[in-house]
Amino acid sequence: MASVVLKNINKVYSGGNTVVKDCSIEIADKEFLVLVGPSGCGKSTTLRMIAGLEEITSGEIYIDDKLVNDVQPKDRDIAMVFQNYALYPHMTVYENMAFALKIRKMPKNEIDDRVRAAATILGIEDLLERKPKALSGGQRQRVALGRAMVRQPKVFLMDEPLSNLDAKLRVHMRTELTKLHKKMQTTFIYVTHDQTEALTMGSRIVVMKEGVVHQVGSPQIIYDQPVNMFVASFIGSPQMNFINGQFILENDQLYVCIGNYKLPVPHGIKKKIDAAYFTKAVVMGIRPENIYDQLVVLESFPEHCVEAKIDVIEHMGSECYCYMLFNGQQLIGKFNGQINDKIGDSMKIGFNMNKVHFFDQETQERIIVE
Amino acid sequence: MKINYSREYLRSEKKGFAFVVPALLFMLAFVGYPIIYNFILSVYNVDIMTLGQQHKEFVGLKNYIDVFNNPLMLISIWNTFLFTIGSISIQFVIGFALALFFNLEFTLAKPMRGLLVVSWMIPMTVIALLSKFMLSPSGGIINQLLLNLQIIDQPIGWLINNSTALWSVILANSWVGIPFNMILLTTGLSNISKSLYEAAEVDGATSLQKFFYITLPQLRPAILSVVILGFIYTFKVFDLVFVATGGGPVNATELMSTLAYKLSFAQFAFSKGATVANVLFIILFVVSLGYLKLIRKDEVIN
Amino acid sequence: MKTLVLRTKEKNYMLSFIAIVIGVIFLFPLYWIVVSSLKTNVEIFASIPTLIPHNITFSAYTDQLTGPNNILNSFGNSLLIATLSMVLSIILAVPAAYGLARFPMRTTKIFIMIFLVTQMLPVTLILTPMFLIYKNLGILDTYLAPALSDATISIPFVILILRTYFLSLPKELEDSAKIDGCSTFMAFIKIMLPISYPGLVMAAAFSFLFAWGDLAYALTFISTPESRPMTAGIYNFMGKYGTEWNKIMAYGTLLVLPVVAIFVVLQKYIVAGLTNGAVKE
Repeated sequence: MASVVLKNINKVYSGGNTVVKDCSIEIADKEFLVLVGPSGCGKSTTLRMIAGLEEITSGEIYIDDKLVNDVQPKDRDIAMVFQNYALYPHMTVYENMAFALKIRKMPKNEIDDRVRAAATILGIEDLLERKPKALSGGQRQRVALGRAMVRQPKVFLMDEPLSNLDAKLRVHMRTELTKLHKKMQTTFIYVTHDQTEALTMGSRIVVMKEGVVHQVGSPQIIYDQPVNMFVASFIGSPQMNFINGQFILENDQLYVCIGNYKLPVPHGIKKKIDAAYFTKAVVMGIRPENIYDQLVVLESFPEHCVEAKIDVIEHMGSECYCYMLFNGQQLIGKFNGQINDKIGDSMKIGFNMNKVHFFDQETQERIIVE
Repeated sequence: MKINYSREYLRSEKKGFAFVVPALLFMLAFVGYPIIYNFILSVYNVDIMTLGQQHKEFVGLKNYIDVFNNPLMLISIWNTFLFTIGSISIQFVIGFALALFFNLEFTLAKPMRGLLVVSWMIPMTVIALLSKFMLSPSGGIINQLLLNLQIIDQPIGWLINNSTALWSVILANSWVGIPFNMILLTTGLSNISKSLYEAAEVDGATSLQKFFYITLPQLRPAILSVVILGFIYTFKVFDLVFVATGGGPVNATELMSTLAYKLSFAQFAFSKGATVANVLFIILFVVSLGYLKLIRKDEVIN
Repeated sequence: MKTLVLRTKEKNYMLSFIAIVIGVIFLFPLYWIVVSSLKTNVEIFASIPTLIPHNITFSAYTDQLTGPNNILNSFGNSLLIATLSMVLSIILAVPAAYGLARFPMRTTKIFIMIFLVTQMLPVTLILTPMFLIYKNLGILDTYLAPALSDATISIPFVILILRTYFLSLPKELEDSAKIDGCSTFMAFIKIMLPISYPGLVMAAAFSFLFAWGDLAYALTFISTPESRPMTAGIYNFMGKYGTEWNKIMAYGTLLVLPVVAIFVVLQKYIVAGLTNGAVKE
């Protein structure tokens, strides 16, 4: 059993700089947990504290229900894959993978078994006698993985392992890592700044910014019910659109007024909003893929339609991103296929009001309560 | 295979020559030519008497044979090797220890380390005089310290005694060489990526294991440089020993460099002095070639 | 096994303390030179040396202000020779380093070899022939002789270190100068030199200090007492002063003074220079 629990973890550097603020997370055994956030949010520092490479200023970390604050990394039974792989340059791939086992005085044949088994899973059996400098980026990364695997640790820690790979390889390795996790049935704690990796790989995601944990949840929950504007904007590509509006209540129907438009809010959503907001200014959030351009839909829901001016069109092949000007701000829409309108044209678009989000203008927090 | 060099390359090459040639000519004139002259001197018979003569006597290898027949020559070769190996051993060990120490992270690390370098820059003459003073049996601070600590019961004439003279100059020389070693090894240490140590930490290595499995292998090129450069620079030391002991007492600290000097400028046997200097040079040259070869091999591996 | 885990702050203090102790022990000789030069004759001759002088006096200095080997005269000679050598080295070595760094030549490796090898030559090797050559040229006993030979020590050192330094500067600088209309030489003088000012300072410092501390060349080539620099001067007069260590240490202090001054001012550059050119060529 290898659960990891962080209780009120703080990390303050000697200049007074607080890099991790009051972080509490419970990670279950065998989970694939992703720590995601922009640069400087404290995710790597948190990972390193779990590893024991950084001192914890205050708080407690438990691995497998044991308090490990003062336990050395080597005694925590964890393995780590570093961003730059940190392969020992003067040792062969085999020796790199065997190193940890060798210093624990494991018998030679057992070491050999483990190293070769891991090499086979990762497809690097042919590289065992090579030195790191003779390997490509992707190969080095797999050796780094192998080095962690042979340890058969309780927890796997990974610090942005894919960020040094080219785009194609990154996509390939994402699936490989997911498969590996399933095969190894061990807890994975993974740090990345790439929200795509977070969404596709994690069983749960922790979204962090400036040392604070903003939301913890499954990818779907984070995507569908972001707890504030930061999480909403960070997860999901292209980014969610935020439009300032004003609620008004008319005959028990809630509307959000944007510019000259009055958009009806579905009752299902209105039910979940505190009545105190019904007269307030709010921020409406809508994801690009929830904006319509198809004639069929526009005609069925005329009350959801608005007019916007096209600024830039990015053709992505099967779909296109349309940057539009609406009510004095920019909107991004994701449309299937091609659109025939040109830059500068006005086009009719519709908002899927069943999929909108609302946020408090001041606190930036979600006001829809589940 | 003949390579055709483009006109642009050749033009650029000429410019490069123009920049380099003045220094090159200077070195050839003031170093290259004298080296050749030195060899010529060593196969002729030139001393104070024959200096004025128009034609000097060609004696072939006689000077070399004479010099090697002189027991002083063999003593000086032995002393020079002892001096060199003794110095670089001490310098390396202490320099390495200091490099490791100052590589730890604490506030005064960088400034203190920089401060220690000053001893490398002090003129050897001063070091020699200082050694004579500090090691003096009457009024020398070292003897006083040892007496106070009760390690000895009588002051020792460190530089005046046969048995201690060589080691005393070795120590003085080491004092100068330690910062040089320390800085070179520090550069090597700082080039080792921190994440290697972290990976080893996570893998379970103790500090000792980290030292043997990561620090030493990664430092190999730096260690090689330091040891060989140290050998070369120490082998040719002259000022320090000449001023501190003059080669005495009774040849205890006679090095090849001091012997060569004395033969030429005290006895005016210029050819003999040139001969001893040549032997010194040849030994050093062979070692230098070995060094260059080693670097080449390292570079290929890298 | 229980390990002693120190908190970072305490570790910091302890290590800094150890560092200071090491510094004090290591640099004690320097302290000793200066302190001894300030002692009175009585204290210097005492059989038990005092760590801190009871009376501070400058008599060791003032007593040496006259005579052919007087302390000021020798200082001036050292200054002259070292400056001459430094100027010579810079004028020759800086362009050479630049040429080797910026212009690929078929003979680059050979040139570098030549400069590398000359660095490894013992001083005594060329002493005898240079003596005879200078004699024939008639420049024995002048400032020129040791300056020229001192330059032969600093030139290869400076070339090798500055070459690495120049290699690290971006090539785009000269390219844009050329587009702006400079010839290669002008680009070198007007753009490269000002930008590589730290490297040049370091090169000048090294060449000055090499010449300043030289004994062999000065001793051999200059015989007139009035023209001798401090290194040769004190050597020749050691006999005269016998055990008047305070006077000898006064000489030593003055000899060391410029070194320490230059070092304190340029410490960063010197350490950077050493590390830059040394390990991986």
